[in-house]
Amino acid sequence: MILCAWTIVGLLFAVRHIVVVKAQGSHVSWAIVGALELVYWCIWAACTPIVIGLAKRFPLTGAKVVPHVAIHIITSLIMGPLAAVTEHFLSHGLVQTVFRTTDPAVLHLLPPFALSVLSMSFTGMLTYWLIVGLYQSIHFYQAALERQTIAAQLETQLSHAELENLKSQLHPHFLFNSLHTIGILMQEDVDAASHLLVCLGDLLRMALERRENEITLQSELDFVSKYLEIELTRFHDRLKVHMDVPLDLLGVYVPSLALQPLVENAIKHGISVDSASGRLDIIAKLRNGRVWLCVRDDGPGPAPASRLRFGVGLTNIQSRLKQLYGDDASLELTGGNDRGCEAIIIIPLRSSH
Amino acid sequence: MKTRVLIVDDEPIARRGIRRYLAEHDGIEVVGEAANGISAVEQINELLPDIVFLDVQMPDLDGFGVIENVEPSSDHAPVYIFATAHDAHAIRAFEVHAVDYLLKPYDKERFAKALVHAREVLEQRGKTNRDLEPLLRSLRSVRPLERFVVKDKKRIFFVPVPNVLWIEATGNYACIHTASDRHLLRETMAHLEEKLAPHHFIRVRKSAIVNGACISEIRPMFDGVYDIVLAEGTIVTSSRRYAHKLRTLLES
Repeated sequence: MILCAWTIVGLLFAVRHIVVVKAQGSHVSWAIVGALELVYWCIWAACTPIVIGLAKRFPLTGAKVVPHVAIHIITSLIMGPLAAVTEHFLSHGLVQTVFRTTDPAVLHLLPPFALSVLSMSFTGMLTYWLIVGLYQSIHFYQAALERQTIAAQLETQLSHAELENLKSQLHPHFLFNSLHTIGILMQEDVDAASHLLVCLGDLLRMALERRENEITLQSELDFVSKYLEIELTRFHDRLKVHMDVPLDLLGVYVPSLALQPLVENAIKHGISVDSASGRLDIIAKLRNGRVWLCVRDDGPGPAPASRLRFGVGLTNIQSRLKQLYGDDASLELTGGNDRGCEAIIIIPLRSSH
Repeated sequence: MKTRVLIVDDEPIARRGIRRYLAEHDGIEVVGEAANGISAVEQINELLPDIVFLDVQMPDLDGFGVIENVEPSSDHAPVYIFATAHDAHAIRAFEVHAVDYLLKPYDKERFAKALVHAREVLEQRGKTNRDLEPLLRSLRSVRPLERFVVKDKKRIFFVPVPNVLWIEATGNYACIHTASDRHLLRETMAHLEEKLAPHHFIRVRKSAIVNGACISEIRPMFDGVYDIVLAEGTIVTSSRRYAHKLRTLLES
């Protein structure tokens, strides 16, 4: 690649040199003129990997820009003259050994040592900086491309997380069963069906639009009520809900989606697995200056020998409590004396964000 | 002769929906409705329906539990049409074992298709007694058994799997021992061993399976035979043939 690029550059300059020399009326063969021009570019082609290596090692970005620029100034000051000296001797050698000519017109093309080294040193230094600059811009371009890719990936991850979030709020099982209920109800009682459809729509909207980490207890209970309204239609006489929440607690802030998963759990593991049960209690209290939230069911409760395990939903709540309140909050799950199960969240009292 | 149908679903609206869709077909007689798995088992045993619409997710005993606990009848096994809202494992199993199922929500067209197919199967009686065992087995591998359904003369009740200490073979039955009780199940040891493997139950001899979580002590006796002491004091002796299973447990 590098060799290819430099050959093209060298050939372009060689053509230019040939045209200039010929325009001056010189009779020197174009091959010698071209070869002399190519010598210079061959030297820089050979130097390019070294320069790129230096540009990589001492990039013109980041915190150490000033020392890096200084390093490049010094190396360009060394490499420029070094290349010029090399070029001078190589050109002379080329003329004397390869072309074996003493034609004064040819020798005229070779300036004396001091002049040649001085002028070619400047060109050399410029070439050096050209390589560094080119490398740096390619590097910037690639970095920008990479950043774009990462940004796109992050966006995908984010929408994936949102989808997971929605799934954790409204289980597909609940969603499809509700749709089935609406489908059947449509043929029996259009008003009831459309009411249920509106409930499901509200619930979906709330779940999709919910962004804050903390919301008022009132908003959380609204969400839970919509959810329960659908479950009540589905389970008809089997589910009885008792809510015990003092009015003055409705304004306190609770983690969003703290209660709904507990209610869902109680229905799923408590009430729906046992046809004899069907009472659900949702209680909020102020205890020792802290908010105490409880969801209780009268299902069969956990088997005596089995340990209570946190599922995905509860583990989620627990890690969110930790994020929001550190060690100042807790989630507990306990079996009742004989039957039932109780989930309790205790969080610090906050009336505003 | 009419096709006798049993409807099993824990949601009353869903049961009404099935009745409504069935009303559009001739020659159907709804013989009963069940709102939970146990009632379904009792009604299937008693009413011997031709077709059972069976919801997979139900209280007490799910659809697969129903099939496991229905008394095997050689000449009158019903054709089951499963219904589920969202159960990836079950759907995969239905597909693999070519079992009829309905995905909720469904409309009358899909319902009719499933019903017509079930009636075709009924007519070719040979296919009715299709063995659902492979389906159940593939589901058990992803969803371990949670509780035993025990039937005595008057009632059906549950014994949670973790409460079982050990199981002993007695003739055609298996006797499951809990700390306070014993119950008889009509099951083979090989079958139980397979079902309980995910719960770390181990076969220690031809006629005994022990709950790994309830072992308090293992005493080497002689020649690869062990005395296994359970939490509440019972001693179960292993046989040499099954010693390797015990060793696997000790190593894990």
